[in-house]
Amino acid sequence: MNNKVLIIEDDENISKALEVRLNARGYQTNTAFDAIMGMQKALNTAPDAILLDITMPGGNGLTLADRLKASTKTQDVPIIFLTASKQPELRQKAMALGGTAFFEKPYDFNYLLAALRASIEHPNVCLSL
Amino acid sequence: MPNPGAYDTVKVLLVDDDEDDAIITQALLEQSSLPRFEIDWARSYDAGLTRIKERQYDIGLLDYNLGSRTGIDFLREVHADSPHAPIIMLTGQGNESLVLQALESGAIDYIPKRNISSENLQRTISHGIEKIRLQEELAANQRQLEKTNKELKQRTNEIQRFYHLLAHELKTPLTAASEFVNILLESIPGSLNPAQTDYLHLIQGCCQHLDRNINDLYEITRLETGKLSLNQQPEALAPLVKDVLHYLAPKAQAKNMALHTSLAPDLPHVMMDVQRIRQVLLNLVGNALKFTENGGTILVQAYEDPLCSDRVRVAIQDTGMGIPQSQLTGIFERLYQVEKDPSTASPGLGLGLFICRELVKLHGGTMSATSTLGKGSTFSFTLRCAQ
Repeated sequence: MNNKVLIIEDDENISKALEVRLNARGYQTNTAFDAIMGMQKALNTAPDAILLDITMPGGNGLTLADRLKASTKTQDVPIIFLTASKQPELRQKAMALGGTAFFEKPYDFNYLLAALRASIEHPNVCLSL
Repeated sequence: MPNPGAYDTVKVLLVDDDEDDAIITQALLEQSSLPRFEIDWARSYDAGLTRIKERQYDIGLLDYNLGSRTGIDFLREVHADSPHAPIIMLTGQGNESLVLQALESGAIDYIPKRNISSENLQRTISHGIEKIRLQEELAANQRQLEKTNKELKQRTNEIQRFYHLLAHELKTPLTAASEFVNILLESIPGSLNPAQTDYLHLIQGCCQHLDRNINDLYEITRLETGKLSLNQQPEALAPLVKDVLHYLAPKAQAKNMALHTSLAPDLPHVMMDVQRIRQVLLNLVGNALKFTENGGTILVQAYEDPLCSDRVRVAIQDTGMGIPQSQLTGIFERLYQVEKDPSTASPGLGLGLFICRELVKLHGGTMSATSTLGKGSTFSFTLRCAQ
């Protein structure tokens, strides 16, 4: 069965690009464009991994990650953070919230894909990239 | 506060319960014609306190002996409400030991009664008033400096926030553009002909260039607003050099260039923030690759600095076109490329070498360059050896 990835990203173009490239590699994708929709889809679609943007309308990705880790339904789903922000403290905060990997945009998709595979296979591993 | 040299009248409060002394003091002050002293005599401690609350004086003259209390008590009481009230203490014979106590309690000066004269009084009052004026000017300047400092800090934070926002807003569409180029290059929507592939690679290169420029602008802001801090640890240079050269090997291969290293075998560990020195090396070796013709050679050396034994020098030598001597001094300056004649400038903002130099400076090192036209250039920097 194909792995399901939930993309929570407010920029529709980046979201679309991620979808296209992941679909081309056999992943099933769902998309959400803000934190609230992201929480709902995380609870309802049982994703194998979440790609989570940090700066979004309706609450930032870090707050959402905290909620996802607090819910019994989503606490074990690996979260890979994406951000266009260059604030150096974000990486530390994101990883402290239980993220398995952190990527600055523009990301290298091959590294992102490798992190996604590793996260799904070993959800508790923290990847320092 | 008026300056007696500049004002006609100086208002004096004289607090003295000894009538003879008070009359003498008033008589001595009245000998002065310019400034003219307008004297208000308070005959007791309490009368002095009442007057000082009711009226404005330029200066107070205060006797030490005031009935059951002293001038020190008076000073403390007055300065509890008005810390800068200018008061000169008049000390009697044998009271000199109290001078220090009076000054600590806020007296601006003292006059021993045995030395009192018209000239002495005038001079001490003039100095006292001038001292207070200067103190107030200093305090005003300090307040202004604190205000300016606060405004500058606020401005610095605003600039930093602006660049955060700018980087975010530029990188988001850049990521999308770059990703769709990659989607096309992966032939996900359909296969491409060779020309289309070439053009997409050009767009991809432009996206990478734009990303580097955004990162450089952001780094500059962090450097110039003092927000960039280092995590320096004792580290070995060899693995870092190896890692950087491994990363750049495909670029060197594409230009048929050789990347060599010559690292001293007993090289001590250096104090460095590995990520930042990686950035410096990537930039310097990247420049060497960019400005050296196909088939050239790049040599990365690291050795104990012969000029300073507690430093390690890292040198990147290329066989490129070289840099004219006239340009070598300015090459590390901010926006060097931008300020150059556009017809002779190389692509880029000219921020890379400036950032490298500033990062090395933050490590306590120095950066320099030597070059021979047509033969090549050597860029080098020093790092402190770990203790």
